Amino acid sequence: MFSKKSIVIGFFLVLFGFLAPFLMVLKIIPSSFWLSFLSHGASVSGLFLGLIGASGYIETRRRKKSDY
Amino acid sequence: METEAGSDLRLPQETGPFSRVIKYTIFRGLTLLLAVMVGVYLTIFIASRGRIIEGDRGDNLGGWLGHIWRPSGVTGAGSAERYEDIAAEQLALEKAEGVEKVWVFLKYNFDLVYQGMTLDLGEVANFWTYSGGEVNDTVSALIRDTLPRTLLLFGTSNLLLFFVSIWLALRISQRNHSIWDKLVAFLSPLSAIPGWIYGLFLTVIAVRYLDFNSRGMISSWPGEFQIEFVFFFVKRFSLPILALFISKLFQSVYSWRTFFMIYSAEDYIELAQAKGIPNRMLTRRYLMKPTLPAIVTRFSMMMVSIWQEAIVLELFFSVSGIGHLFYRALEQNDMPLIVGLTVVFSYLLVISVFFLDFIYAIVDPRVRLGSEGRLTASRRSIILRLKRQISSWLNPLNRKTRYGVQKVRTTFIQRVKGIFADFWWAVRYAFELSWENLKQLLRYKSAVAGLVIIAILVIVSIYTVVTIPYSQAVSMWRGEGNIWVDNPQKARPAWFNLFLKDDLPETIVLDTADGTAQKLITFDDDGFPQVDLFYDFDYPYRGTPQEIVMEIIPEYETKLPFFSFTWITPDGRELDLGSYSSFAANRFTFSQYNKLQQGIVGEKPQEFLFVDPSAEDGKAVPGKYQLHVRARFFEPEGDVEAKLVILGEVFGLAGTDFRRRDLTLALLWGTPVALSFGFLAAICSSLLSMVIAAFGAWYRGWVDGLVQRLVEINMVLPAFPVALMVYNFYSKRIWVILGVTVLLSIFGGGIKTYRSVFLQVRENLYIESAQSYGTSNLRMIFRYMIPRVISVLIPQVVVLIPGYVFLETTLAYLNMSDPYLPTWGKVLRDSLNSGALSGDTYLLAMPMAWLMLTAFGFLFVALALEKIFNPRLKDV
Repeated sequence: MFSKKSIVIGFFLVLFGFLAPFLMVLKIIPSSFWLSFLSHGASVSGLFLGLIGASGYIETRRRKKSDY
Repeated sequence: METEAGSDLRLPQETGPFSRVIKYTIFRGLTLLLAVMVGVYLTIFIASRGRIIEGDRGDNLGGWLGHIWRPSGVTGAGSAERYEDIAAEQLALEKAEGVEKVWVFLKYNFDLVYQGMTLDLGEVANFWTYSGGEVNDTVSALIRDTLPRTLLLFGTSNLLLFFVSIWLALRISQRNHSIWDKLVAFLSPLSAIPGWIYGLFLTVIAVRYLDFNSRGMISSWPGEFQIEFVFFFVKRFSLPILALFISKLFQSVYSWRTFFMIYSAEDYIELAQAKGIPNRMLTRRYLMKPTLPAIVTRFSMMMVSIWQEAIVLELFFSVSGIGHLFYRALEQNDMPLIVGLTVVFSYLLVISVFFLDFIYAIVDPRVRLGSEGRLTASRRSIILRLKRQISSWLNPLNRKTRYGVQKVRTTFIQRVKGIFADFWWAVRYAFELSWENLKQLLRYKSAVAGLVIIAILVIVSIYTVVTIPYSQAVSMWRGEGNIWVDNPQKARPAWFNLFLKDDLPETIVLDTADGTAQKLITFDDDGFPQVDLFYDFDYPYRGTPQEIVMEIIPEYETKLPFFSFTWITPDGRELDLGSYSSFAANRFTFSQYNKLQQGIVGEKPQEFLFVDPSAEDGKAVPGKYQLHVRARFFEPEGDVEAKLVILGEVFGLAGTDFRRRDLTLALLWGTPVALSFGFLAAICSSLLSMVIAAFGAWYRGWVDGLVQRLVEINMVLPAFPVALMVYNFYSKRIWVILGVTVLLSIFGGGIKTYRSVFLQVRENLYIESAQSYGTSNLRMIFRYMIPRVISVLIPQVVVLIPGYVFLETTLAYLNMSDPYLPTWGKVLRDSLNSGALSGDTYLLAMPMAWLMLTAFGFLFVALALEKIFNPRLKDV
């Protein structure tokens, strides 16, 4: 559960890390340092969470297979 | 609780998970903030040429920095009052004494750092941008407007990386040693190649085969949302995003996979499995926790390295983000903007590290702040230890070891000799170990291929340095003595013809001075000489030459000779190219000499001279040609020497560039430069990192703490931008570049890796026994600890070499390298600047091929070494 939850949370964080700068570049929302830094942090942590979750998920599946 | 050493230890205090995470996060945040302050101070120190410590600045950091670098123009807000402020504050500083002076000095420096950190740097000195109806002429506004473009680039590549990495990891997990598994393992070394090199590959493919070029600045960004801009934007950003994504993909997947494979084979994992612990719990509690620190470190390093590439990637693709802005600011000497951008880079790094630490604290319940979770010494034991230390200082003759054994007194020379003996022993040990492992290397085919490549590169380097000395190479590369004048411009390599149906023409040089052209001197009735020059040559090509050049050096006293030119084709046509009494210069090209144009029909002389006008194919007629030049003199004494150069389309092993320089020289000399730079930087930085980590791990306490803090400062200090500042404003000599590179690399991620190994080595029993019989600290470090890390050091050094080779190439591309040496990066830069992407892509092929060859050679060896030194990776 942790693995899948990590992947899902990671996805939304990475998506935010993409959408926020995209909207700022298109001038839909005004540029600001705080939003820029926050989006960057979200992108990095989302990627990290997603990969951790995926690795944990893979390892669990691998062990399940080896049990059989 | 008593230990054998007699100190009292106390059990940890339990705290809730929420307060644990909050405390840890606040502590890390403050630590990182302090690291940023130190980093900003260092940046301002470099930017101010050290004058920050003199206290002679005005009220405004931006104006002051602008004045230092552009004294003719005072810039920045508040500059009108700046001189008065300088005088008033200098007076205050001079009047202050003792502690007050220190306080005033600290206040000045803190003000500067505060202004730097809040980006209060005034106006941009030399340029501004216009975006969305607003003029961005302050440093803060300009950066604020530009930053989202860079973040969009990286955010999109992260999104892509997220999906593809997870998908790829899932494919790999389905079966061990599947084709995807092997592909990832094989391609993982490609992550050492920087993103802009991938961008170069992608751009060449896109331009040649898809007629698509995403390079080119977007001239103005819209003030309001327009849907068409979205599509235009996707087109412009697709290649840089793809380049960044590819450069990180394989490393991400391979690293994660490798870490889990190493730890999943541990004995305690098997024991836990045997005890029936569920797989999910096993993975989360027993497998992920020990690997998380390494993964966090590795991921942080990857994020740091990504930001190093931002400048070059944006410059290459002309993406107007903060990286491109930084380079423009360097070119314009706009120091306030440079400092502002460096601070922003630093913040981005801090945020990466901070968020990763925050997640790490949430995931791993062992992470605690300060003394929680660890056994701590009681006040009594601390006092006992202090007493022992003070007694040791006061009575040097009575020094005892930790176990109460009397230490042997040695002289300074004896100690120095001992250190060298231990160091030499460690070097010998390393060589013996390397030799043993080299034999094992030969069992891996990829390693053999890598060693062959490295051997070829070393042989080429030695040959080059011996046959073309440094001074000669520099002189040749600069084109001194017009040595390249007879070469064609932007010619392809000669071996190109092997792949063509119709060969491209080669350069033909005929000179009366060396006898390749005939000269016949006769005398007319008046006794004046008449010189006939015959240039006979075989032209077996169907394509026309690039240019025809004539160099005529007549010898006469007062009267100019009279020249006439006749061109004879293989099919017997005689073309009269006219008669002339004088030439504007001794050397002229047929296409540019106006007088010669009078006799030539058509656009290009080479078409007129080589192509049969009656033929429809428009190709040159192969066969024997002749140029007949007749010089009539009007004096008794007269002679002429002349050279005909028919410039071809191919030349040499590597072709020529736009300055007609033989690229073989740059490729040959680029080899020793790249290898020596890469090898020296890798060895020096790795050795120094290892020694510093050893000292920190051995002495612990404040030494280890200081090392950790320096690593953190280095992690948040944007090393590449700072290095570019030093190169641009101080020196571009190769040794300075090497020194700065090593200095900024010492406190990198390598220290953490070495430290973790040293901490384990320190716990071994032989260490304790060596301590018990009075071994000195230095001997412990050099004789007993460092040799145990050789197995980590060697693969690390080999992996780092191609990274530094690419760094040297990147610096050359940014025009931040040694201005005299011909290198691969310089060839790439000159080729790109002369339009290589729009047609002459072969100019990029040779240096790229050499770069990739070097990278693969070292990376293949590094992969095999990792498997030798870490047998658990043999299945990877």
